[in-house]
Amino acid sequence: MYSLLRKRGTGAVDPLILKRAETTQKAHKVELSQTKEFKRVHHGPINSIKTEHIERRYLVSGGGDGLLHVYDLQQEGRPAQIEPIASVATQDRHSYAVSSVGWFPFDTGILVSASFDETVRIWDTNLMEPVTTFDLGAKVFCQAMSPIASHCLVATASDNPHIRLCDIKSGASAHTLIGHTGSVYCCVWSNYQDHVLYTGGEDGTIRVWDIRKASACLGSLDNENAEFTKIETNRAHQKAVNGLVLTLDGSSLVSLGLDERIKRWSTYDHRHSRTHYAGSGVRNHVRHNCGLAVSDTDVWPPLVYVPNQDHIAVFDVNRGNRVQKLCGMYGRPTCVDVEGLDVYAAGVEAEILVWGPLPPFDSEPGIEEVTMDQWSEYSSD
Amino acid sequence: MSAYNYVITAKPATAVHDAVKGYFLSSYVQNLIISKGTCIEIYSLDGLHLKHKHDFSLYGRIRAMEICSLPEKPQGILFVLTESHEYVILYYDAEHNSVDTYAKGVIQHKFVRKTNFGPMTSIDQSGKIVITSIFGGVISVLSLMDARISVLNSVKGKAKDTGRPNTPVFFNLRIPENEIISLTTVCANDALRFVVLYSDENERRHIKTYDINIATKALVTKSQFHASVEDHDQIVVSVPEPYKGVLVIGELTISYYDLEGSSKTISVPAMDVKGYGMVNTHGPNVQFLIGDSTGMLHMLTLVPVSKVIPELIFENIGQTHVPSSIVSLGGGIVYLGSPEGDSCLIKLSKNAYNVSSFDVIEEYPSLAPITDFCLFDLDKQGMKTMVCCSGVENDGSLRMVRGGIGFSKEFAVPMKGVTKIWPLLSRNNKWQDGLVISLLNSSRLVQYNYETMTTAEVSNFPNFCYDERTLSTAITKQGSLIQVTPSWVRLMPYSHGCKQFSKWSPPSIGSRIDVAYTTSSVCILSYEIGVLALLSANDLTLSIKRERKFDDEISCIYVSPEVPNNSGPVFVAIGLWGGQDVKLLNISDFSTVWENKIEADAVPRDVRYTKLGEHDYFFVGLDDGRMVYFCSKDGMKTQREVSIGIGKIQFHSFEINGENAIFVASDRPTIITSSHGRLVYSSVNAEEIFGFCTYYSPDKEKYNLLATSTELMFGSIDTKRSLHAIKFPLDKRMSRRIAYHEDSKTIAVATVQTKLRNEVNFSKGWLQIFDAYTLKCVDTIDLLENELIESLLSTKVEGYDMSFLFVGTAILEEDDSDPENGRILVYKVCDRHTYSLVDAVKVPGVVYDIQPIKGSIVASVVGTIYYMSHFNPDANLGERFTMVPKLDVSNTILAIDTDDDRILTGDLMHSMALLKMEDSSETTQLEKVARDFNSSWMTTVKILRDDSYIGADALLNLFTLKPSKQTEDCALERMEVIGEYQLGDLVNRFRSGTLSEKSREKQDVVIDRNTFLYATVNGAIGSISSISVNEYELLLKIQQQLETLPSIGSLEHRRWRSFNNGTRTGEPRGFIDGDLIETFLHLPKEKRNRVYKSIDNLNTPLSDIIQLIESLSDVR
Repeated sequence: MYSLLRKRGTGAVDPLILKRAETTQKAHKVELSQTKEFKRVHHGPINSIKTEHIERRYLVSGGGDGLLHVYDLQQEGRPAQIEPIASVATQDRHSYAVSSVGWFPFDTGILVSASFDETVRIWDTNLMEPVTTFDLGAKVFCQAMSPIASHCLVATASDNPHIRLCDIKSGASAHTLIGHTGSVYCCVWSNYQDHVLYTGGEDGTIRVWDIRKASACLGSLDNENAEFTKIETNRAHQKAVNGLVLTLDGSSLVSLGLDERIKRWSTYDHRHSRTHYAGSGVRNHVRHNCGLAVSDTDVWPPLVYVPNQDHIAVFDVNRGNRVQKLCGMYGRPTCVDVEGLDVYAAGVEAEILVWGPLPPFDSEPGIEEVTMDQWSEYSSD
Repeated sequence: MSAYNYVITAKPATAVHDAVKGYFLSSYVQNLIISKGTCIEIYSLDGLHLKHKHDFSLYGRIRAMEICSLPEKPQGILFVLTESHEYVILYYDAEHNSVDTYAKGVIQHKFVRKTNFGPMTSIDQSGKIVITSIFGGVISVLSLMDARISVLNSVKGKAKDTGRPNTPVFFNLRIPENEIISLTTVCANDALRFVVLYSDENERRHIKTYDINIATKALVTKSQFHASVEDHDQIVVSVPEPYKGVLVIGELTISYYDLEGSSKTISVPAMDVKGYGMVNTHGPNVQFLIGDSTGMLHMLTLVPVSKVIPELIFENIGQTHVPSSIVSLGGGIVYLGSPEGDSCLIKLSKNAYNVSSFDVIEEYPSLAPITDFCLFDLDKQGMKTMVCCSGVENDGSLRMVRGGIGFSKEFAVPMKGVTKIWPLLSRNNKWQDGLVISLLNSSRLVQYNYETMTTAEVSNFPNFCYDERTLSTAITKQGSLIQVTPSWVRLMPYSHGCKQFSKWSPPSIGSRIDVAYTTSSVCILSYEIGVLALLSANDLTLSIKRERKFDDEISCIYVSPEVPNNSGPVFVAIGLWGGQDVKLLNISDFSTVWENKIEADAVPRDVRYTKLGEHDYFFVGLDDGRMVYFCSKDGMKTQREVSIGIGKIQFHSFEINGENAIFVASDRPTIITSSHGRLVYSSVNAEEIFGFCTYYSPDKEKYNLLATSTELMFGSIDTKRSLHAIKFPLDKRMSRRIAYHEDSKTIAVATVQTKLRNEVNFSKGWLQIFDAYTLKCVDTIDLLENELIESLLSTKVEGYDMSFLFVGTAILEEDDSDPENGRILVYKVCDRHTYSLVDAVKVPGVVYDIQPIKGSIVASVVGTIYYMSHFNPDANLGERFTMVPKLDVSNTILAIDTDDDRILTGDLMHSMALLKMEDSSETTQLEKVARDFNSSWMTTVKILRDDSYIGADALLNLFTLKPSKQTEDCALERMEVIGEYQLGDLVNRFRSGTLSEKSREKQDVVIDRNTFLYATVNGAIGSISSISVNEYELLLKIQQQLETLPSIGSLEHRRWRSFNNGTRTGEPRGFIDGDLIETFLHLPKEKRNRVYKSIDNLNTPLSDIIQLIESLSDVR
């Protein structure tokens, strides 16, 4: 860092290079935060958390109690715990567990939630009141909005092979994508082309859709790299697929299956990269959506964050090696998200934990009293 | 108040990032086109000299340029890509001498990753297709194949036909390579082929070819060529016909690939390539010049030995500045543009042994990069001097920068003791062909000889008085030369060889002429006590026409020029000894028109009665360097006083931009002009001046002559104020930090030299001391092995009268990892220049910054703030001062600023935080009171007034913060962003102060603004001043109106100035772009009125607006 810093001052090194080098180094070594701590407010498990990328300030959580809470992340200092700054009122909550939450990609004023009560709801963040409710007639596992699109379609994955696209503008379900057999657990919009959607489900396939076309399914991914268009015979995972995430540079799609394998696919030619994710014995047996996350674009190679048993496993997406294990959770983690260098994870014990970069100083006694926290033992093998 | 800021460039960027050549201004003269920051400059080669032809700036920082061609257009057009990925295509309209926009667009993607190696462009051989790589995996193609520039104006009725096919075709292609390092287009038979040098996921490097079908806008994936190359390869370059391959240039090897399976590799000495260019000069061989990071220039020659693979010959041809761009201008002349030092023009040659070498023909100074600077007022005359740490490694230098009007010397004649100079006008009324130079006790005459066409001194001009000084001289209307010396007035024909002449002397024997002033029609002189006489010269007879006696001796005389057609009176202005009287007389009867007494204890030594702007002024120069004047605005009643210098002053009238101006020759030469009814004083960038005149030589060059104590300088005076820099090279060392030590008038500079030792870069640092007047090095202090200075501070410590120098260092690790140790050293300065070490303490990490606080200092050591808790230079060594860690703040505190008990920290990645020091009798406590939670990568920070804070980040933004009280029980306040602005350059340092001159008029009310300077990596210097909310709102209205005026490239000003940190963009707010506002002053009057009138709800008079803008623009 120091030698890059010297070169940045003379223009010999683009500031971006220092930023990337430093960010990457920091992202490889995060520790349970000493300054950020969340108050436990959900009753029952938290199934989904998401940070927003506009103000980079807020986080939303959706729980088994049917509630949504919004937190302000720009708080610091003990002993104050981060408490929700806005919550869904009890009478407005989902009648069953919330399975997936998301921010409207262009405005922090709108939230989207999917629930086992068979609905997807659009919320006004300022009032925390539902604006629109889509009734999907099946347990919804996942929802997604395109981060680049001009359209306002919420893609939904549910306990029904049909993928429904709900239009926020009209308040109606606009489109149905047919092809999967069995439940669909995850869906994610391409971040390069706004009409392309990736979905994964019980049938072990990952399908690629072009929503503009009548025969919408463009192809499906195959573990053995068979022809992309052999939709029906291709298999991505040996068991159901319940986690999908795209790297922020748009080059790779990472999938997680109940076969407890992580796989990486090129978005350029849809090929399986055959990257071996070391020790990828990821425990994954719940037929729910699993909220994966990827690192910021300045982290290179990109990292993928995978909830696992009692920790979050961090892998180098390109090389497959496990970079770190983020420990400290009481119960099984269900979802993870990343904002800048901070990693947020939530789990079945209704807790939200934060890991962040190590401070540069060894906290010497005498400068500041350090009270070791019961959680701060971490291991990084 | 400080929430609003006015940002203005005082000296634009000088770093050359890109240079291309092509026929841009005309179809027959090749131009060199250079980009510096936001500015493009166009030159043509004139012999061995680059002639400036045109320049313009864009609303955007320029990242790449290419010269393209259009079918049916002989001139080239210019493709420019900006930092924000906007591209524009520009062409030159000779008829209107303007640069117009042909097309523009933006290359934008959301979820892509910018390549580490910056935007890259390459143009195909036909000059019609530009390919660009900005993001991993995406290639943008711009085709001008069928594009035409419409001729809407000239061809009537055909405008409709020129709709569609004119627009260039633009599309994106995806390729699987995400980490593109370099790319180039190559010759291919039918398709457009390009080659990428890329790094794969395992960080191995390869080259690969792609063919593009422009018609289908798709890649042709057949017959791809792929080869693994060395992991240190940096650049792929296409080689022209007859070759069809590429060169791959790396740190240790250079290879040629024919792209069909054959290749050839040679090894080269280790080098970090910074620039390359083809210089195809000698016969069949293709040659490239390659410049590396040490400034070494290498020549690569491709000798054709077989049909496909050439022989590669690599030779080192010499050392110069580190080039970013190498452009051959033909005839062996090559331009080297540098972002790390001066740029230059070289001429390649071969010696008798056929060894290549080069000579530097011209150098173009550059301040880039400015890593630090200091600002001081040496003689407390209100004239600030700035000294910048400029240049990288071998190009390191100190640059002394001062504001004022520049005098550019073209040549000089050595001559001592000049007191006055007069140009002689004869033959016709435009060109002057002679000069009379008065020395202390003699006179000299210089004449132009029309036969030999040379100017030479004439030492035997008949009857000219050589052995006395000349008081005044002129050529009369009849063509005679009149020369007044203390003993005689001589009148002689101004033609060589004519011996006729007449002379006059004061009537009483022994009396001498004291002062005189001659014009082409009269000679006014004074002799004895207070006798003022008007002498007329008719043909060759001199006669007294008029006399008047005054009680005191006359000290100075001035005669106003004749008014055309005798339509107004001619005045004689005089100053008298003793009574401090000044008088204005009518020449026709010597009657007193106006008189006044100078309220000053000094003697008038020169007077001038002249019109500047709308008003008449009576200026009086006093012998103590002061000047007083009276102005017709208030009926010449009020005496105003101005301090010019400390010695005698002399007035000379001349013209700048067709407006009257006065050159004040003094120890601090100054030019007085009038602007909107106010006098403006500008220092001239020259030493003490004794004489001045404007001389139109017969070879039709206009010169300004300045006489110093040793020479007579011929040159020209600029028409505008600007900053002027003088270079002081540092002998292959690079300066990184600088501090001015007031007591000793010395400058402490941290220097470093980096050398390759055992294939590892090894840096050695010194503390060097320079004399602030001469910038001569007076002392060099060694540090530890591997120790580099990171911070310098000269400050007083409570209880001591003198200033101490505090030095913070980093002790480098052998393996180039982050230093884990540093030191803080204290020096005291005794007997003028000697810096002696008081003591040193070791700290665990790099000391990035040291600042004073309440009679002590604070230092940032990585993420922790240290405080000096004890200081006693008389104690035992090792116990003289103590630094204690006080507070862990953040990751890495690169910059701190202090004000009273507040400390502002700027972090490498965590934006800014505000700390407070609480000083009780026993302990000093530091407490973090507020922080900004955004992730901003700071370079430098500054505390403004009114609890607001400004910082510059590494992504070229400026932003301001203000703490806002959060919830009651939250101890830590949040800092809210209150202003955002894209500066477009990386700021390395803020320092309080200004380079504008202190107002010299005592009566002037100066608005006390919070003003500070910044210096950037691109070598720009700028100023930021706080403005009030009313001023902000007023200027914002003007800015919004100016934004609507057409810009080159049709780029939007608001978009250009929008905050952008890669993850978030925000409209500019809280800042006014002074560079844009300043253009308001330079608009033609009519246009300016139109702009003014089109602003709604504007109640401020135009003159007030102009005055406000002028006062804010006064930064040079």
